Amino acid sequence: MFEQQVARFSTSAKCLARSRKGYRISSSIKLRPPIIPTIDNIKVIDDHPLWQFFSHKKFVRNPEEVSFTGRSWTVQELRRKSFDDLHSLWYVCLKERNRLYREAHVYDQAESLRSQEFEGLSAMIRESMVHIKQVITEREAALNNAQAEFEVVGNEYLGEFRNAYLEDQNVETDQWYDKLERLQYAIFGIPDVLDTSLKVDLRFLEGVKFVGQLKYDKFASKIGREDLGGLKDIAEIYTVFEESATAEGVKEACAKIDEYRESNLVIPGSKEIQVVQGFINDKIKQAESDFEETSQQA
Amino acid sequence: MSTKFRNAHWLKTNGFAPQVYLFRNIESGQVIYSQIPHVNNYQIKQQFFRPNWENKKPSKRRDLWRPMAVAEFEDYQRAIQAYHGLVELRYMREVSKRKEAEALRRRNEYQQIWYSGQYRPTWSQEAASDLSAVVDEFQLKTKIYWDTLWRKGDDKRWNEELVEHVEMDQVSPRDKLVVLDEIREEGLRE
Repeated sequence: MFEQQVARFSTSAKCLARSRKGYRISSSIKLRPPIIPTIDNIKVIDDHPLWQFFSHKKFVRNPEEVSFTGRSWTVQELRRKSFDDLHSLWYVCLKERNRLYREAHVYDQAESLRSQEFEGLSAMIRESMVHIKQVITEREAALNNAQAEFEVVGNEYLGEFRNAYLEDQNVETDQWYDKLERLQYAIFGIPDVLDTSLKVDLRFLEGVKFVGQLKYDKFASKIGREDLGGLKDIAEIYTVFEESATAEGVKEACAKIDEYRESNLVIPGSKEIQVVQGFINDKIKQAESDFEETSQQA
Repeated sequence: MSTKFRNAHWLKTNGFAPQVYLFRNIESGQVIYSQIPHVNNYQIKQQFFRPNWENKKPSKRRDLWRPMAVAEFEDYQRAIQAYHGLVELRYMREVSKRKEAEALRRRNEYQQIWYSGQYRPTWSQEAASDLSAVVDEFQLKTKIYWDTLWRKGDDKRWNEELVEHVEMDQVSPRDKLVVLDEIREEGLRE
């Protein structure tokens, strides 16, 4: 059966003329014009990442659409913006410039002078980006200056803060809670929310000691727990530190300290970092298991 | 293995599917028809009849030949029929009906076949057009796997009752032969 299918076709015209059996195309056939490829056959998904290089999915905008009557952001305006605002503004600018570059390139390829209008707008946006960098640099310099200054006058400042806290009649206000929180974060690098990436260091420890002692000194006489005779080691200080900055919080902490003193343990200075790290890890684990329990119940 | 014409029996016993492969040259845009997923000197000799400066004999460098389409037919006999038809149409375009073919090609300002660098898009467009002509001439039920559906062109150019268009998996050129092999296996299953 297969023997009949052996090819008779070969490149020579003579053989072509001889071969038969339905393999030949009739010589009267009309050649068809070439099939021109078309992009109509290609469907691009709506959220394709490369759409970011197009404005409203348009191939190129008219120069009228990008006519720029505005101006770039000034440094003065940008100084009033938060870091997050600046960060998003930077990327808005960057993406718009990418679009403009692409469109300018299209006009360039067509040797059209219209690309200049796109480049003009792009230059204007670039100016905004330069100003964003300027503001960020200013802030970085200010932070460095503040840190350098703190090394000189830091203790004086902490002393002032401590006096103001102790002297104020009512410190159980949102204003003081915010102040404490800011102090912890700015000077000792203690974040408001603890997470597993946190590493306890000397600075952290210093912060724990300062805040813990401050709270105890403020509230000990008020709740009548001067009988404790001061906080003796880091475990006691940390207990006060992690409670809220209220009379109620310190009272609870003192109750825990009573319990702790029954064990007669005293933590030496060399183990302090390790111990605080342990406390924090335990707390995070506890919070995680609590969260899991509640989510399972839900 | 693609060094000479292969008949239906050989294709069947060697595990090839009833398919015809179209490879395009990414440098010049020329197209080679092949019965199995390889390009060899045999096809170059057989399919380029009157080379000139516009249509040079291509080399068989493997990095230059990329799959453009795979046409799958109902049985081996029909695949061979289509293969012969394609080569014969190529012969007509180059030799017996050259004037007719030249009249259909797009020209540049010097009345040469339009090109950019070495690349002349007309060769691959003519190959697609010949494939549609062969399908109509022999009334072959066909499934065409396109490298990109872009090349398929307007739907009006294809016989809707006979032809089904599919797109190959989009992979890097390095893995193109893997895709061809998958298409071959699928062709054998059907």
